[in-house]
Amino acid sequence: MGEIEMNLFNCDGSLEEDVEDILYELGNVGVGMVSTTLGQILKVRVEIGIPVVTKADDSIMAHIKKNDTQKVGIFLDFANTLSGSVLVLLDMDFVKDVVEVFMGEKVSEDKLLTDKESISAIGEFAHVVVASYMNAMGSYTGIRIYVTPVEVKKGMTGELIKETLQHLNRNCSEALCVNTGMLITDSDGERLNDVGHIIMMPDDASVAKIVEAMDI
Amino acid sequence: MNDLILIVDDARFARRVERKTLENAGFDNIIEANNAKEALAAFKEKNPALTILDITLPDNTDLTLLKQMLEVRPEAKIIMNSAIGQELIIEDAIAAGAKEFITKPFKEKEFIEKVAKVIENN
Repeated sequence: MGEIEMNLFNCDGSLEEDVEDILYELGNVGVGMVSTTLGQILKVRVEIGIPVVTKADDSIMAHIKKNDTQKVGIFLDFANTLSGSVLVLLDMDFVKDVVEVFMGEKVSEDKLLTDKESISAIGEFAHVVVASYMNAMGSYTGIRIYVTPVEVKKGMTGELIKETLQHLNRNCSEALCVNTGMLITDSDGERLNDVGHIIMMPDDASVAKIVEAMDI
Repeated sequence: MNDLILIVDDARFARRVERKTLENAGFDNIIEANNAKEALAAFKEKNPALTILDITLPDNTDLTLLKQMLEVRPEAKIIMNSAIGQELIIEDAIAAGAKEFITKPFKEKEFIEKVAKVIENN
């Protein structure tokens, strides 16, 4: 990669408007497709938040709801055609619900990330969720988008983001971040609860490739 | 049914779901692999009647394994089973020689119909 030269930032360091627009739209269609998939699997109505496009750095934390709590982090990288990472942050209660739907039985919270079947169910769920996002993105851009297998960890939001950024910095010089929240209606149908975020972080060369593919 | 089916998926949960779905439909001669290296070895050694192949594995993230299997046995019956349901990738897989592409999460009925169709189509 790196054959495509493109300015992602303005002179003042802000994100170039076309780049932001495209990534914003990809966040929208990506999580839109995820919400459809989640709705089918979990039989719930999933709402999507407004994508936040930033540099992939510590500022991500400011845009995570309930960022002082433990979450399940699902890590994976782009493979083959694009470079960068993806982090899916999910609330523990939501993950418990998901695992119970997938496994068809009650699961105690302390076994969520210790039981092999449960971890595997979370991984499979994460893969389906991320693939939905990538399928929408692939369809929109015409780029064939492959990803690596997922890695699942529990931790505080800050730790999970820090670990992702460290990994990203080892592999990319610069990356952008498209962070989109997901919300579901609670059991009373009265309130929307934040259940997680999908944080896509393509490196600069991949962003250039995406922008070029969108042909604007 | 005695046809040997090879399930290739890195996720234990996914393998369990696929195995259960196949067993419910009467397919009980099933072997599994959880990475590309094991899968290729099992494919060469056991000569399965059908291989159900995930794309994303720890040592394979594209259609390389599919192509390697088809180099070994061009007539092999291989169904791709992946959450990566991008139209271009589905077209690539079918062009490379996969007989079907089932996108995860799948409906049991659709999964079995495609498996039966591919196995019966000699």
